[in-house]
Amino acid sequence: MKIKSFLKKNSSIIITYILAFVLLTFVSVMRPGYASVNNLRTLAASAGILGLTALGQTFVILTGGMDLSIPWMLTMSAFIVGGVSGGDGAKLLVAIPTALLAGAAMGLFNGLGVAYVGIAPVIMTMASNIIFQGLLIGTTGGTPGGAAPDILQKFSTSSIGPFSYVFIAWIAVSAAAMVVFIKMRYGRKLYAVGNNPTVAYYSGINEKLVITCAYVLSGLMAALAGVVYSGRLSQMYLGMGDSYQMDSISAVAIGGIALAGGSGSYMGTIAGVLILTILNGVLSALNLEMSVRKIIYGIVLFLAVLISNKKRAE
Amino acid sequence: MLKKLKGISFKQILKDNWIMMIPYVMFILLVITIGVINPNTLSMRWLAGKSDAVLSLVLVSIGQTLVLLTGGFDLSVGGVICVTNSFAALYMGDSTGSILLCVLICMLFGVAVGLVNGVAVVKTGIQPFIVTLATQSVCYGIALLIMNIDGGNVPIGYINVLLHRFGNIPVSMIILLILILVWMYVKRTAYGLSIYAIGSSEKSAHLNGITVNKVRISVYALSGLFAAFAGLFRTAQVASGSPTAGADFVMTSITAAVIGGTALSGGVGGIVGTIVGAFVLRYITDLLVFMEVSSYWTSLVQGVLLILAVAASAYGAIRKKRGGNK
Repeated sequence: MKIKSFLKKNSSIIITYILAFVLLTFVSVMRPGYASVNNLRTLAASAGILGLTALGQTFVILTGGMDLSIPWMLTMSAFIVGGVSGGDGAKLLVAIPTALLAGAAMGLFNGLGVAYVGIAPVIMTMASNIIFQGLLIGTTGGTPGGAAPDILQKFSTSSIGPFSYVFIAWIAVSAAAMVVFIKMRYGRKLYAVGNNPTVAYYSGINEKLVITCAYVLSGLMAALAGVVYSGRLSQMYLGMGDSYQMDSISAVAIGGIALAGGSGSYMGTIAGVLILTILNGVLSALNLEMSVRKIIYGIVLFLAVLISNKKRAE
Repeated sequence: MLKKLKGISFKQILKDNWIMMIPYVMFILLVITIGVINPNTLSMRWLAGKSDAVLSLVLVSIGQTLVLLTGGFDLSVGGVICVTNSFAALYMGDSTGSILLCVLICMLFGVAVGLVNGVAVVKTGIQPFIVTLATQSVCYGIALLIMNIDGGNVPIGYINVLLHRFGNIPVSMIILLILILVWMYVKRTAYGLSIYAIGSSEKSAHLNGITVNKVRISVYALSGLFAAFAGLFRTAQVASGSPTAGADFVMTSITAAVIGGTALSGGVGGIVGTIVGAFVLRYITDLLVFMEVSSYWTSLVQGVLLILAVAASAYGAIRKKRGGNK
């Protein structure tokens, strides 16, 4: 009985996981070799990076907001890692905290604008995305960033079996996040604010602070993703974060979290990340033209959200 | 007595509507600032050119505003512009018949994409953001199928008609004027009112006998149509096609609406404000050029100005909300 009610309650999330599994099986049958350990490793690493950004996005979307500034927060922190460390592994001790701090500061900027000034999240983060871009291009003069120190590169490209360290790191961070979502007061407050900020306010929740923290966490996660991502590139480039803007939102939506905020589970986001990663992997493995790729991506995105949200619509 | 009454009511009108004035004030300040830096910009000739340059953005933003008013979101407009712009630039041909046919096909495409959006949003209950993100991606793909790189061949006749000047007055300015007049009328019709009603509260709109779903679908269709118009006008204005032309218009159209006083939550705003918002956005870009900001820093300054502009509108809205609570 208990299992039955659990299944019933989480059916949409379970469906999303099944969807991810089906997609993976389908592709491995279509293209033998796709499910090789080597390829899975690459996929797992991309899933880890997208997963970190999607985790940040989840915090923000639960409050009913949206963070469009993830691309340049990610790029900024990656460039900080490269710039501060200058390729010296020992200097990572300074470089990584600096990058994370910068991410949190950029998130704080978003949070203040949204919660305290009252600018619509989409507009605020879109504008701040441009600002961070300008800040980085202005200070670097448009030159590409250097490479991350060897030790970080080693971390980002190593793995245990098919599970790359990046993937494991994401799962670890996700586990911590799940504790926040389920067990900690902040998690409950996130849902309360997303459901109805006015009611949350009259229940004694400092809704502005809760919202601001969500953006800070998103900045922090984007920065973490940037740090890890920097280790996977032989040279960092401007625009390395661009694809994460919409992908992070899509992952959250596929996972069944309402963009209006206040409902859904991070477990769904994880499934959404897996689906998107597999899809992106397939589209590049099939060596399709950009045009066909975009068309398939759009259709699959729609169908995935449709299937995972079926229960809600009824 | 009458004079006194008039005085009071004028003050009252100002008090009630000062928030709506913000975009206009911003626009006037920008015009003055740019005028001081470069007096040439105050000439009719420059204004005419500006109007040509802004019209595409105005057209998309109008469609976007209609969707935003109902509490929706349309990211697919960028895709529609990409497709119509590249299609028109490649297949317009030289005869009047072929040009008209091409225009018609583009319009139908825009409406079709809008209908898909609208039906999907209404029937599946998926958030508009995701639905239109998906159709956007499909449209970007279609545009790349039509043409791989920028190019095409736009007939001179087509360009001449759309960029024609009656003396100093460009066609684009006349289109702007017509759009404003039509909106003034539509706003007061049952259809216009139902758009606002749905944005304020879908439930009460439904209870008041508005066929909510029909209106919502129609709004997306109109947005697609206006995006197609924008793509068609851009074809004439730039005299070439690009499969990636529309990407810039997605966020700028939303920003133009917001600067013009339209709320993303729906029910508040309007098209006249949006038109001013579009001009404000383009003037901000000009300001950066005239101030000779280094190209490395333009996006930073642009972002800051954007936030300031939107913050001004947001601040007004918050003040109004507080006043309403009293």
